[in-house]
Amino acid sequence: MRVDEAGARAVLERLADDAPPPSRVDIGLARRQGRSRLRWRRAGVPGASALAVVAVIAVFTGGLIPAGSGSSGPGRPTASRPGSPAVPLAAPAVFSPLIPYAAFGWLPAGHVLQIGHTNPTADYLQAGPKSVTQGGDVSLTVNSAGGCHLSPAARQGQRHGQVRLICGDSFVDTEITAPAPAVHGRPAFWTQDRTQRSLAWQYARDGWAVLESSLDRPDMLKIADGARFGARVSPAIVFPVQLTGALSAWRLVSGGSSVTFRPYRGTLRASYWGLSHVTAGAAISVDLAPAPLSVYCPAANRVVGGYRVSVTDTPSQGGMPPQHILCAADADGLFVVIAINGRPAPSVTTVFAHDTRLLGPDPANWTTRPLG
Amino acid sequence: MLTGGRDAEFTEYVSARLTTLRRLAYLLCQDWHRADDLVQAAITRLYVHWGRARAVDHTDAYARVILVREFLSERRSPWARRVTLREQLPDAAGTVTDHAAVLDVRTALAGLPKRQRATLVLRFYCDLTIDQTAQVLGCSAGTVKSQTAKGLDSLRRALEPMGAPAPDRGRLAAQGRPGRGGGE
Repeated sequence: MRVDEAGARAVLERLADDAPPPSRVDIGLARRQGRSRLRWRRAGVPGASALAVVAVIAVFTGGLIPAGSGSSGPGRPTASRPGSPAVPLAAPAVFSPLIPYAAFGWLPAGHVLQIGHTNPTADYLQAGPKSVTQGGDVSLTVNSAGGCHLSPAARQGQRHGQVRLICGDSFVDTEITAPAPAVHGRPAFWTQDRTQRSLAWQYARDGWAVLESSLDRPDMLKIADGARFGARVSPAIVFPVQLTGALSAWRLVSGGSSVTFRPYRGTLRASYWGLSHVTAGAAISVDLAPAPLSVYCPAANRVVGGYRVSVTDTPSQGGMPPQHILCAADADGLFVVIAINGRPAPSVTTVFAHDTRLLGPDPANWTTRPLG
Repeated sequence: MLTGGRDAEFTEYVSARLTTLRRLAYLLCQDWHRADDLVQAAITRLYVHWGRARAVDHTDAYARVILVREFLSERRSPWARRVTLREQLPDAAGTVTDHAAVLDVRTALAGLPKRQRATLVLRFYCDLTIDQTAQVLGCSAGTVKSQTAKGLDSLRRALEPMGAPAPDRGRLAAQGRPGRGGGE
């Protein structure tokens, strides 16, 4: 074969003629993960996109236990009050980012809670088959009071009379297609876009929950019926690392960013969270060492606080503030990434060496207070 | 038809372009499994930037930039960005025409460095001009020319029988005209 420009075209076209196998691409998953990233990006701190880079790491964390607090098995009702989930009268104006406001009760057999995000205005839980560590097919978004509103169609091209449920903070914008059976006596609706069915219901006065799933309607109704809401339906998130010193005065998850957590040995283990302070931001990602194969540090280039770490410094460019990332592949049994952006901001090596309490791999030593 | 709303628009767009995106990803990485991972990661980023993507004149070009840069950053970045998809594979395997020639071509292309491969795919499969290719790759036109020349040279060495005369590399690389269809 002669390889000039025409030859190169022929080469590529021949390859492109390969019959593709069935697609594994999941558009619904892209939307859900995209929404999660949008929540993180709303941190409102300089270098939010850089935080998102670290946030990507945070999704690769292991450890699966049954849904909820770990006391209830998949496919079974909640252990504490079977068939009587918490149903608050009014939705809170803000959620605590340290304690998930919702928990799954019933889930289809084999399904477990995989990951969750908490922030002051919306909480998010994702569940899926136990064998799949990411990409579950059940997601529950819970909005704080006033976070959602019903809107008659206003956009061009919509049918007359269409009503949409719009929840700005959780990026829900979906068309209501039919009434659904009431959930605990409160209004519920089926909503649908091209590929994803969802069930939206008022879990409390002025508060909406949205369940997205590819499951059939009866199962979705059972999940909604079993979902529990309230400040005490879930254990507090526990943090394997505590920040002290200068960063202890920073604000946790301000401006809508999230704490990401994973179930682990009966706890909800924080795997990613953000901090902000005036013109600076920080993101902390923690996993158990050794980290999953898909997550790794660059080659260690220095020793800080007695640990081999890699430090990556990116100078200010294109209007973005400087960014400094420290990655420790194994620091007392923890895989730790700390990213600090902004100016002025403390040195990431100083923070790691002097202001970071590493609490080890044992959940018994972890803390519910990420800032000391 | 369900229209309006970020999700509906995004889903509609990606559904319509999925085949194209998968083929482009496959040409970049020569592995359908990885190609789907790549597309999954790219459309997730596309969703995040959907407001900007749908506002630009060429949403397709925007999506292509995301996909190619996702491919280039896959290993260059020290931070693993690979997305783990559902572990279950589809039951039905696709039919693949794995005859020797295709294997040779695939092997030859796979042997190219990532940027060279991306350059050739953008120039000769997507029919982008040198300037358009430079824009997608975030490099200069000169770099595209040199990457094109090197890429063609490597393919030539891999695919042509020993002793075949090599065309004038400099001339090929410097032409800079769009391929068939004249690009976008």
